[in-house]
Amino acid sequence: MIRAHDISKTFLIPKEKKMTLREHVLGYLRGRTTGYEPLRALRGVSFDVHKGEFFSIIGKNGSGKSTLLKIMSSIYAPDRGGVALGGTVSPFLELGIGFNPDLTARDNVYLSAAVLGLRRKEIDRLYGGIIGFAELERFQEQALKNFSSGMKVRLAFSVAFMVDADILLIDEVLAVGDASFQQKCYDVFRRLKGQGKTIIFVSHSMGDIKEFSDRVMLLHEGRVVSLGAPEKVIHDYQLLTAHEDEKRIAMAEQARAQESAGSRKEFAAPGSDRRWGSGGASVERISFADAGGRGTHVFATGEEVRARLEFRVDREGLAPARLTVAIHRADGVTVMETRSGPVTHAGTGARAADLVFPKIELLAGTYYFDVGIAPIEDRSEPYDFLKNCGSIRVYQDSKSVYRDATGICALAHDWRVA
Amino acid sequence: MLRGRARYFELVKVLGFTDFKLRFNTSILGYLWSVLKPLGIFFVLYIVFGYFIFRGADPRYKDKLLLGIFLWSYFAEASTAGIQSLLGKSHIIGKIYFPRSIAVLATSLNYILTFAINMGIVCVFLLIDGVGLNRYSFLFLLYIAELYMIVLGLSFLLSVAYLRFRDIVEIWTILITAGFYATPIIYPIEMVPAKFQKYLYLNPITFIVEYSKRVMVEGRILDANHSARTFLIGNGIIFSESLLLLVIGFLIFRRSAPRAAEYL
Repeated sequence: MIRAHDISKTFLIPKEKKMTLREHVLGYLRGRTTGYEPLRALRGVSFDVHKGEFFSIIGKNGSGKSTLLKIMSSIYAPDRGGVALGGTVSPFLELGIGFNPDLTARDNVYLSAAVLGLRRKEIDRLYGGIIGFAELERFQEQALKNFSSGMKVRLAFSVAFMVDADILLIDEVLAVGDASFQQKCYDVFRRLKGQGKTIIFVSHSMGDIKEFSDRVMLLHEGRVVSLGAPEKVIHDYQLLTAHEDEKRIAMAEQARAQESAGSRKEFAAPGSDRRWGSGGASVERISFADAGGRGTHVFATGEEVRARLEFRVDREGLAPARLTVAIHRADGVTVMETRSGPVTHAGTGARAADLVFPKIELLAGTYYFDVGIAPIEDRSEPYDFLKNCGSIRVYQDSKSVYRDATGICALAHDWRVA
Repeated sequence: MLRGRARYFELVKVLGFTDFKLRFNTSILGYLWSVLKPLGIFFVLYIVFGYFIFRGADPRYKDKLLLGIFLWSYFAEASTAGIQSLLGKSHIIGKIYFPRSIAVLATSLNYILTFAINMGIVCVFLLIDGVGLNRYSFLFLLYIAELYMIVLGLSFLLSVAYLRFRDIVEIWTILITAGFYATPIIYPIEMVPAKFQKYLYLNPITFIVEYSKRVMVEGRILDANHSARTFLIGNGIIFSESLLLLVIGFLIFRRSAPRAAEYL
């Protein structure tokens, strides 16, 4: 159905961006030739997609996914290689292609459908269904600029899925709309799949990929690094990002350590919205290590996580205090909050405490740690509190019992099927 | 689903009519602006030149001025919009494939449509002023077609260049202003010293404006210094210039258009 052969694409990024004739002429007169920086977006990508297959492409930002989709939909021309497509193609690289805010919903449907290749008579026939699917019957004659973003997305989606092509190229469109609309879109996906359409899907949502894909391809720096069953490729991807993440965190850590060589106040100044407290004791830092005591921020579900909390007691005779740690997800959901026993009995000076999770019961994701030191009796204000003091990244090992689980918690469980 | 030519023809139509609608939907006076603008210019120039300067020199000065201004303002607006036609459709071009020439054609369709309506109004003005149709009037259609070819050729040529050189529109605005005075619109070409006239004719719009005045207002194409032979040669020149511009413009466009999406 689709045969991509050795696709390569290099963009020449000018070292100095010249956008006008004046700049070109001046540059020439000054005798400066600035030259170009080659950006190799794709380096010999080959793959086949069978008819009726749901084929997903994953990869980090900048790995070449979008460039590949644009080449497959002829928006960009490849430098080398090419794609043979055995059917009509409809690309959804963006929702609502051609939409204009000044036109009414009706006009926009006709415009966008024409851009996607529908004839006027066909649009007349499909129009009722399109507006119905978007649940916008009452707003047909209103200008698009008065629509909420949710309404716009619904309209765009409805138009897009009315197009009857053999091959659909879908780029990251499910990340929009509310839950019930998303559900509808999933239904459309299942329907299209059932109809035997070939679908190429690019997304960062591993849940969606796992649910729909027959096969997955992993792109990294313009090359295919893994291709095959979804579980396997997603696992490869998680390893790749975990690895990258570790490097990135380590670099940030290093930079931070250098920066704060003089003062130890490396996180945030007291009084900022990330940090508050009445003073007297302060949180210094949180660091993480694995079972062997090696410092890292990346853990597999079920691994041991050792968090070391460093803090200082600055004032004598401080009311007894304890440490608090809250773990939460990027969206703010608190996974757990925990408090230690008294920690200030040893007098003033630098102290440390360990918080050990023998088997971290979290599923894949990034988790943030808020750390505080607060009086045990008086709950009104902590001595010091640092929001997002540190973070860990958890991935799911392909060999673990949790490899297919999604959500936050790795609850102990087993399946008993009669 | 439509394929091939039928689909693309449909797309030119839809994009062209949408642009037309949008141009006039957003302002209260709507379509009227595209008539009022050249009409306003006409009144100003008529008062200054027809009243103060060339008073009584030519009883048909008013009609020639009106015709010239409408021709020129079509050329100025359509070519400026044509230059921006690719970049103006960047939200579509970067997201879906269709022959890039459709964006240029749709814009030109939008402007020729307005021009057609405006010309109807100009003809009414001419009739009211006692200038009827004559046996040469049909030639005017040929000149409009040639003007359209020039606009389209320039649009093809400059719309791809504009993606890389974003100051082309500014430069073009200056050229348009200069061109207005280098074309016999506010003055009759006979006023120009004979040795300079041939330079004026280097500009193909000069031919179109001059001959349009002859066939539409004067109703005669020949006079003392314009023999039948000169007239035929002149027509040959305009036609070949327009065609050449269109072909060259399209060839250059066809060569650079596949990479258009990368420069957006």
